[in-house]
Amino acid sequence: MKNHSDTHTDNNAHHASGFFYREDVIRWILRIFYLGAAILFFIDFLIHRHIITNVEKVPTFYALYGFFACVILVVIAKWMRIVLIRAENYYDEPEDSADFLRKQGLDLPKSEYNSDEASADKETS
Amino acid sequence: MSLLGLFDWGLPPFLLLFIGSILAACTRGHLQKVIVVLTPILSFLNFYQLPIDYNLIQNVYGLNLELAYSDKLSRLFGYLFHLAALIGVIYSLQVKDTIQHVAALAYAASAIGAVFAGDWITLFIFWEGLALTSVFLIWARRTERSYRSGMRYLIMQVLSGVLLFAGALLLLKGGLPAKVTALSLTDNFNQYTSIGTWLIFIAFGIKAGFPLLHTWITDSYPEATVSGSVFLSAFTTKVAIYVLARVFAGEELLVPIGLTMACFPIFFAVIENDLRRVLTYSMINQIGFMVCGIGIGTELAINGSVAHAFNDVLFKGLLMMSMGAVLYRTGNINGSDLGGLYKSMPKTTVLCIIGAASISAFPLFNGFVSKAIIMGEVLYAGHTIGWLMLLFAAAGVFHHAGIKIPFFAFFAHDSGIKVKEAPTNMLIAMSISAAFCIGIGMNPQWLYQLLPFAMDYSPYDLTHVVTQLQLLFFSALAFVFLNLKGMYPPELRSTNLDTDWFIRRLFPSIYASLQHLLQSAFKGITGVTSQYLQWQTQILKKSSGPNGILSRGWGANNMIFIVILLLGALLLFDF
Repeated sequence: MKNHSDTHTDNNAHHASGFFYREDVIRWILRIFYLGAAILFFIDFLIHRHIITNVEKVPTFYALYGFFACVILVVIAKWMRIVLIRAENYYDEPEDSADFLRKQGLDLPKSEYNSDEASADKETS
Repeated sequence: MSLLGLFDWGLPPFLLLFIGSILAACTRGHLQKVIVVLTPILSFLNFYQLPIDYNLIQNVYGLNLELAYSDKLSRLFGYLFHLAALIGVIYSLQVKDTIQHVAALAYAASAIGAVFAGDWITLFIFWEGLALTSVFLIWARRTERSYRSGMRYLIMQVLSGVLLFAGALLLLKGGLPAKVTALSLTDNFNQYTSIGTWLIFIAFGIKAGFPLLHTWITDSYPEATVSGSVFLSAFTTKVAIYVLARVFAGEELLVPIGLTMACFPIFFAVIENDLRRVLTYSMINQIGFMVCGIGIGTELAINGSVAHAFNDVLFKGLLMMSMGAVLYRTGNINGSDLGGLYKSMPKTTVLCIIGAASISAFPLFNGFVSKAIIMGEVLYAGHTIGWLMLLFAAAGVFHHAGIKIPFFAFFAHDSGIKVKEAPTNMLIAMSISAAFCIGIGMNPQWLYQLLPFAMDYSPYDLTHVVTQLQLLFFSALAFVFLNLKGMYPPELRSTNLDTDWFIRRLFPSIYASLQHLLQSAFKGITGVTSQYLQWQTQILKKSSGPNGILSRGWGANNMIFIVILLLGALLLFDF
């Protein structure tokens, strides 16, 4: 089994290989996705939506709401994390999932991911 | 039909599962596997042929208990729990731990018993049965952490049971019949029923994971075993939804509670690292939708809520199973340590994405056909703000469950982990769930005809489909945008504080400091007392010791001198 003790560090820590890591594939997936989003955005001006409440009258309401809701969600969640984050073993009961699985006699290859007792990186970058 | 007639035993719906659980306890190996798979199937065949108005009244020590009562609502949950039990046992077939098989079947039996309970006492019995059987699925992980977590779980569950029992007794004292029927928090004709109703409401609230009472879900479910959390995610909270729909339909307080439940967990889910814990937050979020619908209380809204409970068991179960498979194969479930697993586990990846699409309510998946009903009813009821909150929650759930779960486990940065694909039985269980997710999504009438109230509804009109797709695509766009800008919060090995901090940290520390205070006070008091005693001993030693003033031998002249002195004084005062 491959050593992957530094898996939690960084996007570029590994030489990523595979279909979904190829630059051109990612680019094409994103292009198709952007195209879909654009179609959905402009279709709003072509069709007639059933409208129940006033806010729905805003053109492309659902698209705008979905986008900004998620951006705000993430921004607030990042603020919350600054206050709420603690070390992984904060409640002082370090556990070892691999140990548990081994005890159960399950066919699990032992690897390094549980060997370090690293506490949380407190930076929220 | 005649073959089906072979299983027309007319047994109460929960009985066969209990028997199967006992048989599983007595057997091992392949025989045990056959029993655990056959049990839910036979139980279902028996249940399927029970008449729609089946009921069973048993006299127990002079008490008439309605052990089983069936109508369309309980029957829907009967179907659901049999399906969940079957999927769960198939998923757990590779487990050699007998305790887990026994506990899982008994847990399913308790859930079905609770759903068919006709009176409060029977409900209480199965309610506690749910707690006592399910906790073994947490303890079966056999870590210090799961033991402690299981204890906290048990305390909350038993507390819920005690509240339910106390509430039920007050209702009986207040003159209400023992039957489980609709109650109201506001209209009560005496104080007994009023307090009793509130106690029952809180008891249900604990099991449903109301805000502040929710932490047992996010605390314990991720600590359970791989297959344990699959069972846990199916039963307890859905029983709570069932009883809320039966007893508190149309209770207005449920609307703000449901809205809060739908919204607050998504923030936690975004920053949580343990992917199974992310799913528990998203479970509270989905229950929020259901609670909201029950609070609205129209026939269509109740239908929407129970339909969503049905769908949630399927797609949440599917996601939980796929994450369980990842944990089982890699021994890890932290988003920070996973990634790139689609190469090793392609089938699990596809199944997980189906679950993710379903929970996000993509058209043609089952989440869409039930969530749309609730959203529509909230809007028609005039709760525009509430509707906007649910829309926010719907976008959020796509963000954290629909994208985050598959993305960080199977794609994201390549962790380099190479493992085998999930075991065949797990893949079969996940495929059954996925088939139902897509089947119901494409043919919602399959589910709609089982719902308690008749309805003429189709989720597939142009407005619904287009607006939902707009919402989802632009939520995804936000994810892409934030990721490309490097603004997306990275997965970090961490614990995030939730309100369970109060019971896990604050209260223990208050208790500890109180204990310290008392101890030092006690020490102070004993110190002062012992010093006083020492001082007294010194005085005694001085006066009565070997050379003490009181123990010295006194000469006769001294004694005569004192006697004369006393007599003189007497004479003086007498005179």
